[in-house]
Amino acid sequence: MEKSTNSQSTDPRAASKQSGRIVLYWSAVWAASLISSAAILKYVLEDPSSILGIAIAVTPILVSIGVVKVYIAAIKNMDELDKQIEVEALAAGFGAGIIVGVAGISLEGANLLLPWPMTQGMAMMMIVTKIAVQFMAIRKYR
Amino acid sequence: MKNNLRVLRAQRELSQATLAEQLGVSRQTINAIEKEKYDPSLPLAFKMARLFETPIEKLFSDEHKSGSAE
Repeated sequence: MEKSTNSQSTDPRAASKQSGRIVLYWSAVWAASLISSAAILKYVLEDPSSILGIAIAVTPILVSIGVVKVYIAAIKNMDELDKQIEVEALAAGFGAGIIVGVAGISLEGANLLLPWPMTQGMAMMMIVTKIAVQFMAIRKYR
Repeated sequence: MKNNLRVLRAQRELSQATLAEQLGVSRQTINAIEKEKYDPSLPLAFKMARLFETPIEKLFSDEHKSGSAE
């Protein structure tokens, strides 16, 4: 994927935009595969644990691996200031997610917190923090 | 890191956008470097030095600007 974006343009900024578009397309395909997979497993298939059901359940996971691959390629192709901002935001988002996860385990263990959907909480914290830090970094550098 | 990018750019009457175009980066990157909020990568620093036909150590100095973001 990275090779194809590089070969399409010699202008780094055009390559960066092209990579961003590819990430968006893959993300859209991922979202569509998640929704359709969940719908088929719930409403169409009589036996979701069949081979076909497992294949349908695994499909969005395979697509998500593709999303990660094109996202890494997109980061490599980014304008260098954009790359700095993206990496700072990703680091903060990852850290915040881990903190929420660890804090959740500790607080639940001490009965200070009711059992909660930790995976969703961590993912939400990662996304929200990443967006917030990205916004702050854009203001810091520009 | 301190730099003379704004001075060199002004001497050649280049806009930030034109310089960015020539270096293959965004105008925002040039602006952040000129404001000393962002230190460029080594390849970009060498590219700038070649473009302005000046030694890299005359373009950048490792003296830190007080109160900079970096």
